[in-house]
Amino acid sequence: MELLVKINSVDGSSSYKDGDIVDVFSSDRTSFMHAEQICSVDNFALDPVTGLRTNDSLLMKFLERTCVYKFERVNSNDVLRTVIDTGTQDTINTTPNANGEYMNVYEYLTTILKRSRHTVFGTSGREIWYGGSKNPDLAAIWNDIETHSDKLKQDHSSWLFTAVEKRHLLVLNCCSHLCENDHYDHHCLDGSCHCELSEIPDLEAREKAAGVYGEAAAEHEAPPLIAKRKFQVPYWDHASSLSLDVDSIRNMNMEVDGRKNGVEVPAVQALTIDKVEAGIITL
Amino acid sequence: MATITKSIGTSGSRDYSSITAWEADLTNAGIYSSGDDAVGECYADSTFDESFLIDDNSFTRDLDSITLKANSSEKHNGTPDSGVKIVYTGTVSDSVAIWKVNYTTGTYGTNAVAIEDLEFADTTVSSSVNFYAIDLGINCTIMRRCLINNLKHSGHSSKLLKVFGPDSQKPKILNTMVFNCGHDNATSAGMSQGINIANDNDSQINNCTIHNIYTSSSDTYGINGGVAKNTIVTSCGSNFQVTGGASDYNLSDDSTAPGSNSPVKIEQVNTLYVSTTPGSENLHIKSSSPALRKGQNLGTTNGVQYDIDGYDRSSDEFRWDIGADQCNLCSVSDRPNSKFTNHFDLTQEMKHMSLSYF
Repeated sequence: MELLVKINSVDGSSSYKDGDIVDVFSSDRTSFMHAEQICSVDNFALDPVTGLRTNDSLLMKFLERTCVYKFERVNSNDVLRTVIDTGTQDTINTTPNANGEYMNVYEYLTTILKRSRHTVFGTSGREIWYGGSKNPDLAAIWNDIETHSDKLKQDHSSWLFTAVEKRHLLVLNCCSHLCENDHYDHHCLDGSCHCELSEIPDLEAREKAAGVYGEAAAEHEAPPLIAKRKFQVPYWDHASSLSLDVDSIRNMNMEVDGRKNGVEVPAVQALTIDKVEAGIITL
Repeated sequence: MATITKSIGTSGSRDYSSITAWEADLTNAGIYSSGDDAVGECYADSTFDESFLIDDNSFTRDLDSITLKANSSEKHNGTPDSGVKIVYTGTVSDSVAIWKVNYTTGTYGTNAVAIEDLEFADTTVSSSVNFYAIDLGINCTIMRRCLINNLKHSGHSSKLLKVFGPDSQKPKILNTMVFNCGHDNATSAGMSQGINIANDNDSQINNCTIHNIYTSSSDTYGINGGVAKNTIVTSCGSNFQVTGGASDYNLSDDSTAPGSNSPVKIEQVNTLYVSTTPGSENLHIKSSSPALRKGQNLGTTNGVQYDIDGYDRSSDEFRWDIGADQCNLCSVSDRPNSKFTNHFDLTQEMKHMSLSYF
């Protein structure tokens, strides 16, 4: 995973502190972001006659992987709805079904097609579109992308940090080091071990950018914020191991990218500190 | 005393690649000075998959205001997936809202945060927590023209889903649509609530549309608390749980719409909106809708005159519609709208028609 780390502390007990992990980007989050950009509607032209998208494009395949429903207009009133994963079909029109669902397809499409970035395919009167969101199958999406474009997943494994972020925050990466006969607390920062490296699952990664909350005053009330972030990277202590210059990191005019490649990627347990466990934050 | 606008998106050419990174850098003395207005302008380069918290940390530079919004060319058109969308696939803590504003108003002033033209959607919580999606704080935030949909709780039946929660918040929610949110546990679902806010005159819901807040086995509300004006709530169990005396000109498909000027309950929701079909939702109102021309002119305070599409209601002579959409092209009866035929307005025409389509 990749991290954005706060440089310099902010006044206030619950505010960001120097080294706090501001945001994290797991491989899944990064991979889906790139897939969305490759399959962006901006990359697929409109038919100049109908104003609709062309069928059988990579964009259409992407929507089939990410949407629950496919809609096909069959006449002026009726729309055939297909649940993509099961193939179950029903017809939607202006008369509400048992669940109260209805559609005035002419007015619906009029609204949708006002926007040039629409994702409506097919032909006039026989339009096709997709809707509803489901958990994306990243492997299938990237299989489609690699099959139908010259893009490779292996070339899209890094988050697109901006120049401002590289100047004002610290960009790092880390991973899990799975070591034979090793104990859990693995402290390899410089890639000197001979362990198997693996990505950190998305939910586990996101925990590194979580806040710290106390007890709510009453049931159903929001608990108070104790600290903006629970985890930090003490980059000033790790600078030597990570071959980073602290003065450069704290110079807002210099771009610093602390990400490592291959076996040099540091272990997450070594890079990050739980501020509660370390006693930096007192609950 | 300047407006500092920063772009947020994942194209690689923006200022920040996430809302969280933008918020964290609001403390940067090299960018912001006392009295500045900070604007984070989101682009639909990809879906924003993140939570955020705008708090005292964000106001460290003594900013006058903070606005998070969609770039004008990439805002939604009142339907899902049409503009900048924010989701969250991470872990949710009990009663901690995913998208939250909470700062000290005594220090930084009231309603200094604005959230505009963004879609918050497609987020499911399956853990055993009370799921609050949006917390706008106490007199902290004005939300305008947002689209909130398909927030689901599939966790334990004793846990709540509140699209807006907790109920201590006092927001201004204007021209916003909320729909298809609830508990989807078919056998044992908990309570679902749409806009659940403090019962106070500072909690204002103006020209909003709320549809289908659902649960399979427990109580459901559309709006609980606050003052509601020009607002539609349909298919939400008990639609309005609002006792504020100033609430008026509201519409529902039960008998709960408060206010002496609220139309009688509507019998069929399909007379109101273009589409309620999941995956193709479009809660713009249509011709002959009972919401047409039944609202109150609420003036221009806080930008309430701009409908879900950004159309300025104050720019013409039409009486306001109830709900988030103003449809001046819609005819009140099945006959053509005489006002429209007499006063052709290109802006309105463009708002409701696709030239490329025809």
